[in-house]
Order: sequence, then C-alpha cells, then structure tokens
Amino acid sequence: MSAQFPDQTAALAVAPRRTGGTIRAVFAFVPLALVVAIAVLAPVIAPYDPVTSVAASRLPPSPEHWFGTDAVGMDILSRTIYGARIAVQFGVIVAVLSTIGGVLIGTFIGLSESSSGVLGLLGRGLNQISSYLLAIPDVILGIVVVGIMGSSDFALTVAITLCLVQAPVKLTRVEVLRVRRESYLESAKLAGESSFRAALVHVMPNSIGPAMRNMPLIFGNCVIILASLGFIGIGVKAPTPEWGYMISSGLSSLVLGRWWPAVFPAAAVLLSVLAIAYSSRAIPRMWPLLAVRVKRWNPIGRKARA
Amino acid sequence: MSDAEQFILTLDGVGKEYGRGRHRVTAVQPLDLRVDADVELGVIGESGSGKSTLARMMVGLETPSSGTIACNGRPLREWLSTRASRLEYRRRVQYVAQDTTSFDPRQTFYDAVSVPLRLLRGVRSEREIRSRLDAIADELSLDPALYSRQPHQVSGGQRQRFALARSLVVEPQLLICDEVVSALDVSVQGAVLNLIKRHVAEHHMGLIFVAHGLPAVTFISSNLMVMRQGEVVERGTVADVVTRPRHPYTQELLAAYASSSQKEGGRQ
Amino acid sequence: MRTTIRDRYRANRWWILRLVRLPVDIFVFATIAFFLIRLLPGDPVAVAVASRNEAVTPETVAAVRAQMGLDGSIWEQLLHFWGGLFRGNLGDSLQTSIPVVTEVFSRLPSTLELILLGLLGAFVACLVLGFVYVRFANPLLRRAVRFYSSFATTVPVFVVAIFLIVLFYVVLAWLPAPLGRAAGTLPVVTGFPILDEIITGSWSMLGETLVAYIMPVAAMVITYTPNLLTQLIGGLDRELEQTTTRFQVAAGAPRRWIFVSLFRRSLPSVIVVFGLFFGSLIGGAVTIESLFGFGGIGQLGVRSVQTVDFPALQGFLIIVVTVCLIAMLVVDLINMALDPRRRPGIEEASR
Repeated sequence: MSAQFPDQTAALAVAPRRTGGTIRAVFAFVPLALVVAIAVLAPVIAPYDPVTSVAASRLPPSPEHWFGTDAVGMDILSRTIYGARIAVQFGVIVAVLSTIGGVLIGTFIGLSESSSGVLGLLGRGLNQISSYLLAIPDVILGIVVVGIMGSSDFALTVAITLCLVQAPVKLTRVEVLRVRRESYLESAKLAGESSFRAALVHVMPNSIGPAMRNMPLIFGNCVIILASLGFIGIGVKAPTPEWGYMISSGLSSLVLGRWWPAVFPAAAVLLSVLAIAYSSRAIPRMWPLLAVRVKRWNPIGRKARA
Repeated sequence: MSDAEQFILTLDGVGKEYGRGRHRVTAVQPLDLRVDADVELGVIGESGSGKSTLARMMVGLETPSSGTIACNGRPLREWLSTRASRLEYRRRVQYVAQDTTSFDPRQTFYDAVSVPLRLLRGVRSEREIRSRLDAIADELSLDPALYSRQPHQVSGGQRQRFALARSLVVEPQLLICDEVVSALDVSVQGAVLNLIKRHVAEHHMGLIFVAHGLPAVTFISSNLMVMRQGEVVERGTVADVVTRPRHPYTQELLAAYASSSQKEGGRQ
Repeated sequence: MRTTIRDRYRANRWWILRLVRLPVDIFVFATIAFFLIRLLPGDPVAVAVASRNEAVTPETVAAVRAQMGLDGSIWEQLLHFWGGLFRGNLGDSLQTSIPVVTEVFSRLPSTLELILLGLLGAFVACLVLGFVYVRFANPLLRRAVRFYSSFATTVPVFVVAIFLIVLFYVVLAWLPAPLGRAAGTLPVVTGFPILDEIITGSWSMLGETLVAYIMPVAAMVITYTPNLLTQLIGGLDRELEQTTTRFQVAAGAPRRWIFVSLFRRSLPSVIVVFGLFFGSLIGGAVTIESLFGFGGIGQLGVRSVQTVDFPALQGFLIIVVTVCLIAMLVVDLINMALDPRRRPGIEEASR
C-alpha cells in the first residue's frame, strides 16, 4: 500500500533546516501522515467502489484484483483502502472529542477537588467516577454502550470516547494540580481576575500539554477498539468497509483455506496501529526539539530563565 | 468609600498555624499591628520567620487562624466576600512577590500588566492603557518595547520591575513588597530599591517592605520590625533598632552584618 | 500498645483495610454503572421494540419497559437495584429468563481460564527473555529484546491470532481449524473446561481442548509479553545500576545468586502491571473467543447486544468489572506483601 504515496514524505521534508534533528522530527510524523493520507485519498487510489459487487465472488488475488474479492464479489483492495478512511474518521473524531472533554473535566477536577463545599464534592466525585470508569475493559464498555444505545456510528463514538476520555482527564488533572501552585495565579488574583477567568486564561492553556501529546495515542487506541468491536460483530453496519468487520466476515473463508478476505484487512490493522504507535511515541520525544526550533526562529533574542 | 477616606489597616491578634494535632506548626504568633496611610515599615527576618506569611495574610492570600485583619474598621473577610468590595480592596492594597514565576509563561507583559488596569481601574480604551503602561515603564526605567515579550525572554531584574509595574499601575494606597530584590544581582538591587523608594514618595503610598537582608530594609523604610520563628522580637524606628537593639537576636543580626561588611571592606 | 490484639491489628491492618475496601468499591462501581447506562443518550426500550418487527402499541412499550426494570422513577429503580445487589440478584435475562448472575458465572470460568493461561505464558516468556537480556551481553540480542518489548499495547490480539491461523492451519496444516474447544458437550463441574475434563477423566476431550488452546494462548502470549517485558527490563536496568548488585559482584557472589536477587527486586514492577492490564486481557479474550468459537462471556455480551437484553448488559458490566476489581485486589495484596512500603498507613506510622 505504502509504495503508492512517496510524495507525503517529500512534502513534509521541506521543513525548517536540514539538520539531523529536524529530519528525525519530521520522520516521527511520517507513519501517522501516511495512514491519514491513505484515508484522505481513498477515493483517488481505490480501484473499485468499496460497497458494490464488482466481480465474481471469492476470486483469489490477481492483477485485476490485487487482494482478491470477498464472498459477495467486492474488491478487497478497495475495501481495505476505504477501511483506513473509516478508522481515521473515528480516530480523529474520538481523539478530538476526548481531548477536549478530558481537558475540560480534568481542569474542573484539578481546580475544585481540594476546595470545600458543593464544588469540591463534585470534583472529588468526578475524579472517583473517572477512576472507576478506567477499570472497565474498553471492549466490555463498548459492548454495553452499543447494546443500550443501539448500533450506530454515534453509539460507537460515544462508547469509544467514554473509554478513552479518562486518560486526558487524569493527565490534565495532574498538570492542573501543578499549575495551580504557580504564583502567577496569585498575581492574577491580586490583579482582580476572578477564579473562573484565571482558570480559562491561565490554568487551562498551561495544563493542556500532556493531553495534547496524548492525542496520537488516543487515535491509535480508537483504531484498535473500533476494529475489536467490529470483529466481534457490534461495530459499524454491514457493507461499510471496516477492518474488524471485514476480518470477521472473512473467517468462514479462512477455515476453508481462502486466506485473502481476512488476511489483508488484518495486515492493514497491524500496519496502521504500528505506524500510529510509532508516531505517538516519537512525536512527544520530538516536542522539545520542535519547540526549540520555533523559538530559534523567533526574531526576539532569548535570555535564559533567571 | 471614597479614596479620600483615611486609610488604616489594623491587625488584631493575627496569627497563623499550619497543620493539625501533632503536626501543628506555628508560622506567625498572634500580633497586633496598625498600618497607616503613610507607613514605611520594614519587616526583617530569616526564612521561615513568618514574615512572608504575615504579608500574604494582609492581602488575603492566606487566612489567619486567629485574630482579625480590618481595613478602615471593616474586616478583610467582608472586603473579600463580594466582587465589588474585593476589587475595591485590591485597588487599595497591592502585593508584589519575589518574582520567580509570577508571570504566566504564555502571556506577554503587555497582557499581564494591562489586566489590573482594565479590571481594577476600569480603563477601557486601548490608547489610554498604552499611555499608562508607557508612563509606568518610563518611571521604572523599562524599555516599553519589552512589553511585547514573554517572561522567559527578559532578565530577572526586568521581570521583577514588570512585577512592580503590574502593582503600581493600580496606584494603590499601600504597597506590600515581599522579598522583591532578594533574587537580583546586587547591582540591580540598588536600582530597583531606588525606584520603589522614589515612586512611593512621589505618590504618597504606604509601604511594607519584607526582606531578609538588613541593608535593603534600612535603606527603604523608616520603621523596622524584626521577626524570628513567627514572633515579633523587636519594633521601632530604624535608628532606634540599629543603634540600641534590645533583643539578643537583633544584636546578633546587626553584629553579623557589621562583621560581613567589614570583611568586604577588608577584601577591597 | 496495651493489648496484643491491637498490635496484631496494627501489623495486619494493611490487608484488612484493603480487603474491606473491595465490597465498597463494588457497591460504588455498581451504582456508577447504574447511572451511567441510564444517562446514555438513546432509549433501549425503543431499540428493543424497533428490533421486534411487531406493531408498536403503548402497551408493548410499557411491557418491555417493565421487563427491563426501567419503569418507575429513577430512585425507585435505584432502590430496587440496590436491594437486588445486596442479595446478589441483578435481574433475569430477557432472552433466556435465567438470572443474569447465573448466566455470567456459568461462562466466566472458561474466559478466566483462557486469560490465566495467557497471563501465565506471558509471565514465563517475560522471565525467559528477561534472563536472556541480562545473561548475554550480546548487544544485538539485547536490542532485539528491547525492540520486542516496544510493541506493548499496540497490536490487537485477534490480529496476531489471524496470522497464526493462516500460518499453522492454512499454510502448514499443523493445527486444527479454529472451531471451538472439543467436539461434544463439555462436562461442567467447576466451569473451567480443562479442570472439568481432568476431574471427569475425559482424557480425549482434554487432548482436543489443549490442542485447540495452542493458537489462542500463543497469540495472547505474543501480544501481552511486551507489556510485562517493558516493566521487567526497566526494573532490571535500574537494579543493575544499584550498589547492591555492584557490591554482590565485587564480593564475588555466585552468578546464580546475583540473578535471583536481581529478578526478585525487579519483579514487583511487573506484578503492578498485572492489575492494570487485566482489563485489557478480558477485552482481548472476548475477541479471541469470538475468533476461535469458544463460548464465554464475550458471546453472552454480543448476544445481549443483538437482543437488546438490558438486564443482561447491566449485570454483565457489573460482574466483569467486579472480576477486574478482585484481580486488582489480589495484585495489590501480593505487592504489599512483597514490598511493605506500598502498604496503606505506612506514612503515618513512620512519622
């Protein structure tokens, strides 16, 4: 798959300065960018329509159908490529939703939990609830939420977000607990700022770092959970080209020795989660490097912190 | 409550304890203090002597565990209970801390210093804010161009002066400085002290100056209060305390400074 | 320090307190779950009625609502729910009319068996690779172990299993098709398939089951070893730097001693992870069961989704999390036994 899009790397490589550090920083994004590129360009690169029968059923891989066709004659290559689109759609939506939600909830908990009164009670309660929800296995929570809300894309998004929102909540809470001890909050108070304004202007912007860096990880976990739920049969609806569902529907063929309907989507899951995992580990490592570079461009000369 | 009203801050048996039971620590032992509009009070003591806690209690950053602080007869608790009176109190009393992180690392100085002008003095027009900021920068010998920078882009001395600017634009009746020069180079210390002294004199402000260094305190204030382990061991005018110290700790303190300045003199 | 009973209580307080916390945890979680599934957008009654292809009348809707235990105010429901919780009754399945607790517990052991085998295998593999990592100074080998450990929590277990099936069933034909544990009905005594087969002496079935377990357990071991391995390697690297180890080497202690001491000191960090990722093991086991045609809690969950079996889903969630909480309890107790610093209340005592 990846052989078809070398351009993406080239586009990113036109980065700041061609030093070793920069190139390594750019390479951290390449795998993630590739997965996203396949998703975005799916209509251009997929040879056939992913949800209509285009040939005889169960054809083995051939020059016409590189990955063969499935039980109803749909082109597996096209379905696998479009599968990236589904995974990325869910991944992006869930990553954004759970990061925004997690930052808001985490900030609230961090600011309120040590205060007395109703707010403090609410903050401590939310923190406890978040800890308990963290104990629920992702797939189990997915099963229950989809079971109660009925199978739909919305239900899946809610289910996966509920699983993954807990990490940014905890990350932001810890960061808020650090930031709230900073003396610039006292200065803000003395300057007449209300605590709500201070939370919005000072606490939140200074606490979102860890949650932001966690975003690619959420993206990757979302892809895994979506595929797992699809695989056990409660994911997106039938003809939609979703990898987990494709694998499970290829199983009966697999038992009969026809390996291609299950193996190609499985390989797609494997490659994409590895790519995302690589990027989600490499990007935070590159963070300071990128920050330094941005500062170096800054025309204002820097002076070390006293 | 007009600004013309005579400003008085009274502390009546104010003390502070941290922790509970066996872990209880007394930070400030109950003390009485009367601060008038034209006060020039230096508070001196080693770290942990409770001098900072005392200063912070006067602006409501800490709550006293005993006694009451009152401004013009009205308890501080009441002042801080509603938004309008809280802002009024902040207009009257401002507090500057030793700057290490007293500025949000993401904000420019312009954003930070203009906040009290907008919220406390109700200045709305951008031009008015700009001119007031330029005026205060001029007074503190700051280059107004620095307003567009962020905290990590200036030196410690400049940052400390911005911290002063943030409090001085409010034109308070009482300025409380908590170790404002301790972290600065000796050369810069003198400049900042001079700026504070001049500004306070010109605007007829009260000043409470908390520090652990004797020279700074004696330079800037006329009255002196010596604290040790939460207790006020000596009070009086600077001249009185320096020439006739009564408490052994004060004598020790003065002796230490005398010998260190002698040593420095000897080296030169 | 007057009575010995009090002293004894003090010495044992750590595990007593931790044990007492479990029922509280379960109760609090069950209550949170109760509200969570009622606060979710969407109405299970509507979903259930829509899936039945019957004429929708207000009476049928009300009947379904009553069946699901969703009639009355939420506080009445909560009281009813709490009452059931204390009696160990989480309602009956709409599908089979069997109590949900019975249904889940009849399937849970086979899932737990799979998880425990996978966990045990991963633990052994982790120890072996950890030994290789310390014993051989070959940098290539060490880098390979490190690289493998970097796969922690990335690859879903069923994907690994698919590749195993392709290799060992489709290509090499060494192992049987992934179609369940063994032919015929499994004997049920404890609910753990292997144990039951041993107890009843069904040796041929035991053989089939063991063969059928090779691929799923191998997939779990391959997938979950890196999780443990990262912790072990981290611990080993840290302990190698410690003066204790240097002292042992300098003092000329036998190699075997040094290894044992090294592993004993590094293991607690591995055991901590057990508790943390037990949940993801359950999730993984659900997909594995679905793939290999094993009956287990995953099957029950999927069936409950398809039939909108509200009581079953609610009970399923609560019981699965209870199992996770118990697993965490066990891990906590082992850890506290190994390392007294982790015991609660230890800070107050040392002050």
